[in-house]
Amino acid sequence: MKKTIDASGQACPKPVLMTKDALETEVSDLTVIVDNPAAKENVSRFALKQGHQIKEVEEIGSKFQIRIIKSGENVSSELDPEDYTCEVVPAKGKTVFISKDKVGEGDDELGGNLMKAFIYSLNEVEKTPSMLIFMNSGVKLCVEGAETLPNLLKLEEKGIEMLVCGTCLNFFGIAEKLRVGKVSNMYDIASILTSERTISI
Amino acid sequence: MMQIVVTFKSTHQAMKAKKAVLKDKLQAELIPTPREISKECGFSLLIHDTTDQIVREYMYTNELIFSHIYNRTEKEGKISYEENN
Repeated sequence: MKKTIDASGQACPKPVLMTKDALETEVSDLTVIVDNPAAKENVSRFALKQGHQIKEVEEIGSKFQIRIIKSGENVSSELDPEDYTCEVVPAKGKTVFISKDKVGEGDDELGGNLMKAFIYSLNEVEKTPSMLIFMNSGVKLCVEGAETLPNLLKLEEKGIEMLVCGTCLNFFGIAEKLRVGKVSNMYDIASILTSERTISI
Repeated sequence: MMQIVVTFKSTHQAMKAKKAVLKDKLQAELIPTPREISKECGFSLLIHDTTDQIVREYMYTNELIFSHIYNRTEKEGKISYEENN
């Protein structure tokens, strides 16, 4: 049976999940439509790992059509988070790179208060950034007990993505205390910093 | 119970007041002074779940110098401030 699903406009990892669901039905020839290269990679990698065959990948305008021929049996129905990476999906707005728990140099107490005020005001500005990246002592803003935590949680609720440097959390011994954002690594962070409109604070 | 915003004449006074209220476990944070209140750069103190009387009394008993006290209300995503004399 032939089937086509349209996963364009879906945030990662939705296209992979939709592909998985579709492959679990009585389908033998599945076409998945996605609208970004990351989703194309993720869907293709998932299908191959499940033992299916990629017949062709066609680029139509800004979209991709992946044609999957289903193998006789389902290899595994478990989804391995390592099979797809969501972090590299391009964000639409600006990325703010926060590499300290303070703003600027001069006085540490003032700098700490400026950072708290900055994060508070992100909830009120018209054009909120689409992503925040925390590194070095910046990761301390995301942990239990941080005065910035309530405002960061509010931002996360609004859909702003946050990546927190895992190496840094580990260095400060606060990895278990992380309460907002997701742990990320230098590869993801570097690929975003070099491809997005990034501002540093 | 409401949200109260206190403004100050100087950054130092604002930071001093913040330290004091946090020590006394009041739920407070320093915020940039809202544009609706003043165009000047500066910190204000936002205190959650309190009343203007409690805040006023607190500021006087702790000898904290402040400028004005405002009630902060949030309605349908719109925030407004009303001066409390």
